[in-house]
Amino acid sequence: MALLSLSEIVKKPVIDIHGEKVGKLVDVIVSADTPYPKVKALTVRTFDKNTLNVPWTQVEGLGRQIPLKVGRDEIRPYDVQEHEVHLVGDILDKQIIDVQGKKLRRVNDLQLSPTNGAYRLIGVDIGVRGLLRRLGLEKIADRSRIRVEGTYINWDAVDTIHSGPSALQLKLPKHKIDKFHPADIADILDQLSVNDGLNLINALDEEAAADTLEETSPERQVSLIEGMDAERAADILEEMSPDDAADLLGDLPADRAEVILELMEPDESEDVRELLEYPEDTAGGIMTNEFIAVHAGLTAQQAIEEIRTTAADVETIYYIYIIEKDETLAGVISIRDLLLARPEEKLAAFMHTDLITVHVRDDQRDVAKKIAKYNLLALPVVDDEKRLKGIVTVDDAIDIVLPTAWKKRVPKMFG
Amino acid sequence: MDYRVLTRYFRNSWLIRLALFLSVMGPGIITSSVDNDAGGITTYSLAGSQFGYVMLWTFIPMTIALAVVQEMGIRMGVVSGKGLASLIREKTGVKLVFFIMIVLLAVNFGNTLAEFSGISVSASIFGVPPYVSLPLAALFVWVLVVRGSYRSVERVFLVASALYVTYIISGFLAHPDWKIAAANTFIPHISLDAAYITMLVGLVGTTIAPWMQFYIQAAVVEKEVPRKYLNYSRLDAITGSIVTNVVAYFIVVACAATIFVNGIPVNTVADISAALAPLAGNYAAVLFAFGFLNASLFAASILPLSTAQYVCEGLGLEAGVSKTFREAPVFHGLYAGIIVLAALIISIPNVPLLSILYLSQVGNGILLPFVLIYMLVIANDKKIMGEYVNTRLFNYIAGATIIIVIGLSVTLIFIGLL
Repeated sequence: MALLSLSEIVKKPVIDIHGEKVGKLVDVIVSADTPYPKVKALTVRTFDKNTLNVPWTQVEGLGRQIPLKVGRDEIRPYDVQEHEVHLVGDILDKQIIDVQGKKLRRVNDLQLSPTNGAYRLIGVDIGVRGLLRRLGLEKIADRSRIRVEGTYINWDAVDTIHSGPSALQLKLPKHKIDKFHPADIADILDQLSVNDGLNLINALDEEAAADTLEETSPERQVSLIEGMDAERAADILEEMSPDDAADLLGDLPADRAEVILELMEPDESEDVRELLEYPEDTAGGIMTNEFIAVHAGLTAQQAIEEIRTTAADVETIYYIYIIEKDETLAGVISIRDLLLARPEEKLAAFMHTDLITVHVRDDQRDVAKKIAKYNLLALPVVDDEKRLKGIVTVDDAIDIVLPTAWKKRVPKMFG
Repeated sequence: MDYRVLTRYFRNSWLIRLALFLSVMGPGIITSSVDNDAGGITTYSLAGSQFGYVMLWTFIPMTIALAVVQEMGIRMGVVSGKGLASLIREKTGVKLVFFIMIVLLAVNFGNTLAEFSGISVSASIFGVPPYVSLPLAALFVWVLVVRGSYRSVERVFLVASALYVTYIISGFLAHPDWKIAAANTFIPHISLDAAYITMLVGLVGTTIAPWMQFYIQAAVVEKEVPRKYLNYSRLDAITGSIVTNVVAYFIVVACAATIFVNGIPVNTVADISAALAPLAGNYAAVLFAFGFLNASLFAASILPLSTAQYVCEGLGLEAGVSKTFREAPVFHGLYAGIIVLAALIISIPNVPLLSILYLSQVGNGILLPFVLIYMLVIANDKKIMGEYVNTRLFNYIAGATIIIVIGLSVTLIFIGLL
């Protein structure tokens, strides 16, 4: 037996054992098991306009005619389980994620393969050939010798998207997209409708969701967070770096931002609230307040110990800032300096004191210029009293020169 | 700028609402304005010049029908986050979408021809020959789209929409008889004269066109209007429908008060502009021609791109200006093809433009009922729309619109055959 296209069997007559027509095939129900779901039942529209699910055990085979093993009256209607999938209703003509190409595709046809008396869904046709077959033009294409390649994706390299009006938390059965780089997930997310995007982001764990959100455009971040349940939004924002979280909250309506801040862990929300105080286009507005600061009196050994215990959640640990008791910035050392120093040496002895800093209210473009000029990975930000308030990292400086919105703008109609 | 941010600074709830409206405004007003394109303005001005004030009564029902249809498109876009082509495909499969796309492509190509001819005609009124204006316009359309982002393009379009006020000024400069105009606005005048019915079909056909439903929905999807601001988007659709019909109304009034009253025979926009100068003053004539140029250019910027977009969306092909030709060959082929071909055909002397326009009107008329019926089906589908399905009143108004449109299309084809 050969491979079968879904389009070859849909609308074909279903015949019972006595040779009498029962109706037309309108849908195929498959199990949700991976990697290749098995056909469990056929949905038949009978001539009196009812639909009937015939279990696969009562079906003889698939083809131009679909013969049953039993008479019309002996059909035991199949009870569709919650996770089972309707191929025509749920997959055909809908969008899927091509896991290998990391792209969104529209399904033109589906391929079924016979194995041990059962059929399994093995592939998705996303090519022009599938489109022509659906339009009934495949033979014309063959005759005119136009070379039309079929483009198939294996079913195990496909991720489905739940579509529908409700942006409810619908946990999908195992997502393959989890293993993508967040930037790749974000690319797909940007092409989805907001509702489908919400379903996708809700299917990710909080950390992956946070990383993905950071990679999408600010407008998209706002629509997703606004569409989400506030509790979930708070969980995701906790996982984001405080500066990105603050930027996002700054774009939300004030009351919504407040609700989410209230729901966040107090120490996380405090960092974010502090950052929200500064205008968006200043050093304070783009800095993060996660950085490593130690006191000048420590030895190199003690400093390494302290970093080991406190730095797990800090994004940039290449520079270690040395502060006085009143939090004023005294000096800076690099990880390299620290590793090369003798363990008992005091930090004060080898720290750099000719500091390059910016003020919290400095213009963000000046910050970017300074980072570029001095080739820094991060730049400390201080207030009027020279207290260290945060750092601006080089990736945020790049965003000033090449705004994320521009980098990530995904073309739809214009763009 | 996202005007939603402004809500942080306002205490006054009225100002907050205004800021929210500004943030979602655009799709409805732009779509409605593009509606008054070269074909539209030609039809309206001929209606005024040839029939005087008697057609003014059509504007109130047309405004209601347009507002209802546009609101449905906006609601479907906001709720589903998908374009109309995608929704129809997901609902009914690829065959119907393929048919709709082929007809839409042909019809929109006809419309684009009309826009380029509008550019050529209005530029000639200002003394710019077609061989200069057509390539320049094609280039302008290209640059605007390739260089612009949706937000910046939308701003250019909103300014272009504001320029339609020139027609309202022209209307006043023409010193119409407001008493007769008002009487004709509220009292329907029905005639079975073939010319009258043809004009009626033209008016409805140019006001409610299939491409608009695809465009308005794509525009709200692209704008990502959140569901809770749906009411502001609805306001946008309704405002747009009213504004567009007010502009159209004034075009009819201006032509009725001058050209019809003096019994001057006119057949084209150039005739009308020339006839307006001695009757309503040079300002009115210049404003009229300028408005026509603006409208043609505006619609020429939207039609080719949006057509390429829906066709690719419906067939599941790659689309988007930032993709390379290799990545999205059909999209780029269609987009460039429509612009270049339209500009070229209009450059041909003595091209049978009226027949082309008539055919594209017929195409519009055939396509529109299909599009409206499927919109109605989708807008009533609980699986797609959830709690935002159509209300019964909406179904009645939309249903009546569909029946009238079908009736008018059949009449148009019938008259054409005779």
